[in-house]
Amino acid sequence: MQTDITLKIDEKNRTSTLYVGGYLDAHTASKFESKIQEIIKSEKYNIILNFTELEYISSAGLGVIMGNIEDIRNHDGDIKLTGMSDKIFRVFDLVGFPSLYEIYKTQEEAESSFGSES
Amino acid sequence: MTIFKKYLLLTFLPIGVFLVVYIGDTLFYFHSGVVEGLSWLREILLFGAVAGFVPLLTSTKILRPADTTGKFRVLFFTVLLFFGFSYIRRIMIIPAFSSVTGYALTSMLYSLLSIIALIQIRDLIYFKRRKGTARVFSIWVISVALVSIYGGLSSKDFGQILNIAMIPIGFAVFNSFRVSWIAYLSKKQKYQILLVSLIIVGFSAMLQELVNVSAIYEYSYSVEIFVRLSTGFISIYMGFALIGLLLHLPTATLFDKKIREIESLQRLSRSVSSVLDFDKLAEMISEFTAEYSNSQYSWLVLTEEDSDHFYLSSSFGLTQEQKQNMNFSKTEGTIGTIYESKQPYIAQDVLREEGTRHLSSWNSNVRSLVGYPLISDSKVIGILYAAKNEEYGFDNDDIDLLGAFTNHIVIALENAKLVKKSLDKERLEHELRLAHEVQLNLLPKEVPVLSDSIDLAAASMPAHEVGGDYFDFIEIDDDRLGIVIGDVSGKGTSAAFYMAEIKGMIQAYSRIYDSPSKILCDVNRALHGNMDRRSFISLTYAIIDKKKNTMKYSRAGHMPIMYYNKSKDEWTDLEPKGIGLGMDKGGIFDKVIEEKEQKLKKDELYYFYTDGVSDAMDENQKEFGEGRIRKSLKNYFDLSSEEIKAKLISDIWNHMGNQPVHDDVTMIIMKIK
Repeated sequence: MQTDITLKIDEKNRTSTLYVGGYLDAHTASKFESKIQEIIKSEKYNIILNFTELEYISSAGLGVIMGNIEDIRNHDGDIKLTGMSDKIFRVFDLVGFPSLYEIYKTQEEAESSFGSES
Repeated sequence: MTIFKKYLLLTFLPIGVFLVVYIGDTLFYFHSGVVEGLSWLREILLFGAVAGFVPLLTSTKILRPADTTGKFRVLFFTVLLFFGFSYIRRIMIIPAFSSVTGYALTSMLYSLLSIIALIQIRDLIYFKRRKGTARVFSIWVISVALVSIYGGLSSKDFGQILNIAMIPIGFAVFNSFRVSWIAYLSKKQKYQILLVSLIIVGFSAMLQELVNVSAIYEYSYSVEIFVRLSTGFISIYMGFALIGLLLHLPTATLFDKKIREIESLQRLSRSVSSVLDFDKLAEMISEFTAEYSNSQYSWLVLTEEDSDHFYLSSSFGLTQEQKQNMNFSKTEGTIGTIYESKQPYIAQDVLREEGTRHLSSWNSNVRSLVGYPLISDSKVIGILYAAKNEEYGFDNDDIDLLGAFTNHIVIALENAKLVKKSLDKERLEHELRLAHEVQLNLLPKEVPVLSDSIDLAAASMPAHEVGGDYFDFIEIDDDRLGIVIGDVSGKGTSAAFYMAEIKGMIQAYSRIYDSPSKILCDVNRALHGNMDRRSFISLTYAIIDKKKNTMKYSRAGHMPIMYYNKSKDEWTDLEPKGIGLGMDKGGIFDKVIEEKEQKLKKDELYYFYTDGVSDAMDENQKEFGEGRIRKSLKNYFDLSSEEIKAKLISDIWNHMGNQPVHDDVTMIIMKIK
């Protein structure tokens, strides 16, 4: 079974985008977590998670986002989500993420949402 | 005791023979003159008596190094007694001694003392017993017997058969090379035994002359020859021992040290194999190292499991402050050097050497230091240090000893680690079993019957020992039934405890409020803050009222309720807005959550489920999906809820084939008849 995750960080002026692809489940959640920690350690708090290449997400994946959001928001940052397929969005939507997180259709919209704050 | 009895019997017999000869002598020899024809018989009897002592010489016991000094003590006193007696006999040539009684007693005593001395020598020779050892000794015994009998029969004393006597003397020399016991003596013992041997050699050499002067050949030639050859053997053997001891003296100190090393290694491996507690073992290693290398300080740094970071595991002689100031970087200092090279590091003058000068920053007393890598699977798993207050504190032997130590230590540490791991695993399994039991008790044992028209069925199958899925029926009162279905994210033992918490809360709140949304808001408020921030619980709560014939329901981030209306052949997802429990303090949760109500009508089916049902995958990672659920439910609609459940589950299993179950599968079917 192919259950690998791909993670790539793209640093821009104001934002750090983490491109998450493949399978984000209980097995790969720790890799995802350490990437997010890496971004936080470099004191970048405007984080975009781009799920364009994501095929599957489990509650463990959602848990990683929830576990870090408080810290990031305390630093006047945020985690914003983008690039979800309908299937992935359905998972986030069922759990109620849209009420708690900003979700954008495209990467550009997500980036400019941070930009407009300055 | 039995050995003692055997010895008594063996000595009693020859003494008896001596007595018989003595009686014969007093009757014939000295009173009626020499009975010429019987002298050969007398010699044979007398020598036979001496030979009767010989069985004392056979032994299967092996001398242990610790017993060597005991042998020398006996030998020393025997020879001293021998010397003393023969000396007195020499200076006091009194009639009593010249009598037949005097001769007989003297001969017997000499033989006995010779035998006792020979037993000691034999045990020393047999110290490293091989086949050849016993053979060469036996040859000597036989040659002595033959020469003695020859002397006795031909009426010649020792002086007259000297040329033949060279044969047993030659074998005596041969036997005298067997002095391997010397190697096992401590330095102190070597000096003691050297002194004792010197005295024995001196006395036993003089015995030759004294025995000769005693003129026991006048009594019996064979006994005299036997005694002379035996005392001669003792002198020769002790002479060789003396030379051996002298040659060993220069290395005695070194030898002592080596033996101490072996002993301490043995002690270490013994202690180490009995200690399975990791921390205790680490403490012990530091202590042992300091003790055996005579160091003031010793410390053990180890790498953390699954990472290369070093930490101080145990130490000896270091203050709290010194420990805190240590540096564990694996790229700097001695740790860095040893980690990189995997070789021991030796600094004989810490302050002058580039690599160790930094040590003074945390311990200014250290002057010399050895660091030994602990290598397992060609990886450095730790470093063992010993340090002294003096320059050039470690010689090559100390360093070798440490090296030998480390091999044992690595094995011991790995062992302790394994034990700890398996204990941890056992503890975890025990916890899981407990949680599993708790969980089983949380799920309802049977499906309640609310009314004839409401047909309920439920199933929950955890994928692992402890699942995250949860369902419950709450009989609020005679008319109302609560249905709960939920999924705790993050499996393991914590899930079981969250479930227990939720079960209690919902049961309590259900009796206060008649509103699912209100109940979920309160549950969320109570849960948030108590839960791990990474976990949340998705949950749907529905209240069925048979009097009003309605269902009120709210959804906290859970899968929707699938609703099928047979008469319209229509599927609807009942999905009021709501977010998972524990994700928000309450402000947003309360604002978002919706509550819906709908009339229950005949020929309807409500399907509550967790994502384990829809996400069940086949070998191509194709999910069972909502489409297949609908299809199955519709196919089996005419059956009872219990039958529909069974059929649907078997459809899911068929879909998965032999794929492993990844997620819990839980469902509740409610059919309105």
